[in-house]
Amino acid sequence: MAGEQILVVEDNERNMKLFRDVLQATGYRVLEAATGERAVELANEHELGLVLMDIQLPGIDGVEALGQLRRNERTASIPVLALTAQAMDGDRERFLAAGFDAYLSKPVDIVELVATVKRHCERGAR
Amino acid sequence: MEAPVRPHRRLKWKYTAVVAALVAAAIASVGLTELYFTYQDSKRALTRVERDKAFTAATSIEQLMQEILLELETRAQPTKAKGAAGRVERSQDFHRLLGREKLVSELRYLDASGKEQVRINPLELDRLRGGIDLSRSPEFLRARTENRYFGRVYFEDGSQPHMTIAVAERAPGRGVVVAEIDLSFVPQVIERARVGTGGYAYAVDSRGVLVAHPSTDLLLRHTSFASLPQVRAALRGPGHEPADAATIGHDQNGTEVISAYQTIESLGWHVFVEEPLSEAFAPLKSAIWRTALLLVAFLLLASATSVLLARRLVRPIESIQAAAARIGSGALDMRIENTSRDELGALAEEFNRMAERLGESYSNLEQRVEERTRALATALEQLDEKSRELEAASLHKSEFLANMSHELRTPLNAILGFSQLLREQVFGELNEKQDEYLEDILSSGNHLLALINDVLDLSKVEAGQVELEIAPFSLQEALERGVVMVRERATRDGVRVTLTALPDVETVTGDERRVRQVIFNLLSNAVKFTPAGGAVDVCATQVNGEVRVSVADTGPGIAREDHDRIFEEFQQTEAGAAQREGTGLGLALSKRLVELHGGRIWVDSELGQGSTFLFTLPVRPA
Repeated sequence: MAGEQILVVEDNERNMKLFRDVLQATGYRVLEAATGERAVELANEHELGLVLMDIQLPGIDGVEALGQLRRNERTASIPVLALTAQAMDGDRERFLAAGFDAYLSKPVDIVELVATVKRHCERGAR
Repeated sequence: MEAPVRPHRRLKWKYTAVVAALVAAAIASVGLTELYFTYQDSKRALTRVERDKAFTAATSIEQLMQEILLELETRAQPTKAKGAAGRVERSQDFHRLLGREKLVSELRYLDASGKEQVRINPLELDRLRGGIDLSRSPEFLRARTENRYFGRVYFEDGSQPHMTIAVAERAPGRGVVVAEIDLSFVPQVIERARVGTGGYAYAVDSRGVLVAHPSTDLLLRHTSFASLPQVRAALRGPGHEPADAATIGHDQNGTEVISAYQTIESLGWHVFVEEPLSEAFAPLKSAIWRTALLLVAFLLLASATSVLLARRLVRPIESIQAAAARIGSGALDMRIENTSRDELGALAEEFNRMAERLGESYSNLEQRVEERTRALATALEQLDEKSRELEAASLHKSEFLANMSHELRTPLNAILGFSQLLREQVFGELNEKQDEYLEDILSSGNHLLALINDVLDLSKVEAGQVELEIAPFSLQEALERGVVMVRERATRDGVRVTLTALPDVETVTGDERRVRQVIFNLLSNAVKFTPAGGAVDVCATQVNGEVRVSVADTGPGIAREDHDRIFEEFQQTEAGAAQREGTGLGLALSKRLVELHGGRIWVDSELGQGSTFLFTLPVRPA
């Protein structure tokens, strides 16, 4: 199970660093994308166990990127988790309805993050 | 639009009636007065005529009688010769008289002993007749005692009236001259006295027996008229009636007559001249007819005239009325045609002016309504614009809030995340101080997160962006969940939490999530401020159509002056501030949420007596 590759899509460098360190410390390999376009590219090029997707990004946003992943047969079944600072009323419902497999709001509890990632990787691996 | 008012009683007919009544009254009163006086006058005039006639007749009869009496008295004296010669002389004298005086039909001389000495009449020519004793006859006796005697009227040769008159011989002679007088002149004289066509005259003697009358039959039967009122009055003697007054009497058949009479003094007779009332007043009757005819004619004329007059008078009024009615029903450009210069003309003028003013103010009004409508439309547009602006502003505000939230959470994510990562000691051990500082960082970060959440919530409520999701839910369950959420901390702090909810407040209607938020806020405050060994009691009851939830604690209590303040933003009690926990926004947010539900929230507390926070929710029909 360990060693699965996770794509982190995040435009904030410090947060990217946090997620990378947490995931790597947990035993995952991490691919990084600062934009939605780059994320779609990387997803096409690599075998991914899961995608952690920020929503507010330069260029296409996380929801659009999710759509592109889902429309591509190769990437359609990868679990994609929304990890966003958009945490107003109704945001959770909105993103789950858009097709994300889970929703995590920033600031995220890293214990919860790790547990959620682990849960969805296992599901995606089956 | 209302129908114009139609007058019930037309002025025209009123005028007509008034004028006609006036004319009728005038003619009738003049006619009646005239008739009355005419009646009186003609009665008087007729009476005068009758009386004159009666007087004339009576006078001429009287004169004749006086002449005859004079003749007789001349003869009634002793003859110069005595005895037979005397008789011869007297008979010669008598012959002369008979020859001269046609009215005397027979003359006799009675001597002092009442024996007839001479009897002369044209038929017998019996000069001397031997002494018939007439000493017991009334003519002898009455003439001897009263000098004169007038006998009753008698009739000879059918209807020739005659009368016996006796005159006493002058002294020293003591005989009596008796004459038979032919009264056939009397009916002629009486006949001349009659008036009119239906009028007639008659004479009665001193007892009321007829001596002359157009009806021979009545005469011959010696009819007495003494029972007729006018005759009775005459027999009683003169002075019983006013000279000028007309006497209304009756004839023998009972017909009313106008009657006048004159007495023939010497004979004691009365001459009556009479005319039936019906005939006497025949001219009066025709006068009445004339008057009545005139009355009707003038009435018709007056009616026609008054109709015309009323029409002329009323027509302008009617035209004013019609025009006013049309103006009243909205034809404001209607004008009354004005032809006269009198008060009606002035009235029409005033009406026209009024209509004009009305029209002007009406069009002014329309203009103003138009202006106002335009202004209103503009205002509405502006309002629309404002509303759009507000909407935009609101949208902008909520975008701003979302952005702010996002921008605050992003660095906070790094702060809390790295701190947590450090605490997990994945990258090496931390010393005690480092661990302590790390806890401080985490605590402050979490506090900041709570603040962000509360500020956002409050901002949204204040911006009116919180829409309640109203639905029935179990209050009991909401309360239980709140208790569960604080139980861990309560247990840790040694605080006992109890829940009492009455069965009748099982289900309430509202936004469950927000109500839970309030319950949790109040409960966590209560637990937070209650010292170990204390108790928090949650209770729900229904009071006056409201559900009331109370959260009572045994904490330090809140001074009365702080009761309102604590519901304001960032206003904490000293104890609250000392706790360094909480954002100072929880109660403010709870207050807003309760009020959004239409309820109230307040605190019941004294310092050192614990606090009870209460809020109400209206019970809505499910």
